[in-house]
Amino acid sequence: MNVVETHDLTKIYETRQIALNSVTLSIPQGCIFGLIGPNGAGKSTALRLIMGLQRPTAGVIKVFDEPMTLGTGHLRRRIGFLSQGGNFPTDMSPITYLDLVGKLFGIGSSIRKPRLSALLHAMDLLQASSQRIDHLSSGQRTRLGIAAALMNDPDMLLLDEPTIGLDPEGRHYTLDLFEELRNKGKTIILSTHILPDADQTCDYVGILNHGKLVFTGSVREMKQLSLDNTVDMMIEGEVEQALQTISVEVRGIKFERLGANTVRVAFDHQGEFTAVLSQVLDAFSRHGVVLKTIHPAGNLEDAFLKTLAEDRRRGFARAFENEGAIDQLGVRATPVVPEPAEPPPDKPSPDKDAQ
Amino acid sequence: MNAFTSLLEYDLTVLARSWIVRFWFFLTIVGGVAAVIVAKNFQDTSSFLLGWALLLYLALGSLVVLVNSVSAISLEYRFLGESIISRGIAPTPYLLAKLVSRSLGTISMFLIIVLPTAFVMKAMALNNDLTVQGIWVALAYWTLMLTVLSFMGITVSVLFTNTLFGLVVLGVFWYICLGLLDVTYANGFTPEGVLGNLPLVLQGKALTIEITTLISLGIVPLVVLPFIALKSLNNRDL
Repeated sequence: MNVVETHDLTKIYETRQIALNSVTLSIPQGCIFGLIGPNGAGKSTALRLIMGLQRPTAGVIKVFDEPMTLGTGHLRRRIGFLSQGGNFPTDMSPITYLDLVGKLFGIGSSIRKPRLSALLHAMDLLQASSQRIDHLSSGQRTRLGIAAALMNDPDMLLLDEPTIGLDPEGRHYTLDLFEELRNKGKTIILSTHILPDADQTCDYVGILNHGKLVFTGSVREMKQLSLDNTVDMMIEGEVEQALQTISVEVRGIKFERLGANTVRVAFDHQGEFTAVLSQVLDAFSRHGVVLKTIHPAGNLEDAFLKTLAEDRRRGFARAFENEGAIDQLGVRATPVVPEPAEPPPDKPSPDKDAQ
Repeated sequence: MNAFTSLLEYDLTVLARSWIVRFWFFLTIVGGVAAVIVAKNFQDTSSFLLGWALLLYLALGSLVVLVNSVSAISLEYRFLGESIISRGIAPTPYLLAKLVSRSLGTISMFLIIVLPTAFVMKAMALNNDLTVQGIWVALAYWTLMLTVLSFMGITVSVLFTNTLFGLVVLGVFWYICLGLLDVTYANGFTPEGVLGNLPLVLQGKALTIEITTLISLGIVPLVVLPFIALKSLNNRDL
């Protein structure tokens, strides 16, 4: 079952800025879905549209199989929401704010009070619970936002940059918490530009660039997108000399030194991957080089950058393709936002993996 | 506790913590005591003195009502979506809670001091001509006017996110309307004339406002304004 479905979701602000451009997306229940993209890509807008806080210019949003609008408060009762930067009534304290949130959700006192106390404890806010919110640090405000998002024990969490401002311990704890919640069957949609966070926690990711969804799929698929047939090896021995010799001996490989003892090996021919890898390992052995570790080289960051670069390239291509048409219309070619590109044909369709 | 009562409780708490409200409350008490002292020691009729007290309250108290109502929603736009609407709230209960809370606050601030003041003046004035019925009718007009102003303020609060701009727009509109209303009913530019028929109302001898005017200036705005505000709120991006 999909908890969120969007079809051709588009948002154009009054300033004529295109925040989202025809985004079609399905997010299955019980997963962690990461919306990643550069600043201004439309991540926060997407979350606010899903939350019903903004009206789409075009397209449809369904949450829990019902159309989401500002008026559908009953759907929001099943959602926990954390906004970027956490905008709170600043003259309240964490304890009074969480109490208000509980009351707004209609949670009775017998459940609200213990839950509030547990959340303050869990989010390490007990000591700051009576301080005014505007006196809290940014990390404490983020933690307060997460506590508020969990107050109603939601079926789904929408979290906008949930690890921003957190110290490493807090970040670890928060990411672990998300995994725990996922294991309990809750759906988490988080936006982030911290790629290691997405890599660590997300099952699926969607890349937004200039409001256009340029990729959706599993994290594994995305990594493969960047560096197929490439491995990182940690080796010991006479590395420099061995690599020079092996480059000549074994055809179809390229070495890239990543560090004193780390080397990236790219295999040119996909079909011969195992055979060539075996030759490399034999050669290492012959040259007295000891292989310590080996793992696939693809990482989310490389894939992300590659996807964005590809999207940008397609954007330029389209701009030049349209040049003639624009000239014919007699208008100046100064679009506010670059015309978004179609997703590459070899990539999965936006909702393919989410089905 | 449902969403409406939670929001009502929250907004009444905000109102109770407001320094403007506290200061105005204190000022009204001082004004009420002063009105009673004057009525007890001067020969002027109590209807004339209470009429002026009510006029002053409307002129100065309108400012407080303006500030309280225009800021009701516009000051919350910064966190309205994230901290309130996202917590399972729809715009209708939110707006209703605001209307009820701010109007209740306005009416309470007015009646808690002015009502006892009027009856104490009736009892203690050196030259009393107030009647119980007259006091009730006059206070009902004033309550209606202040409630209409409150509703207008909240509507403006939805329409303009800039509180100061909203204040100026509604302030100019409201005081022009008050001026026109006074010009319509005044009997000349003298201390007695400016009050129009208000002293007669307080004496229980006249109703001053025709029923059609009462409905068009009082009841219609109270019915129409919430719909305008709700439509505007529903069309907003939060």
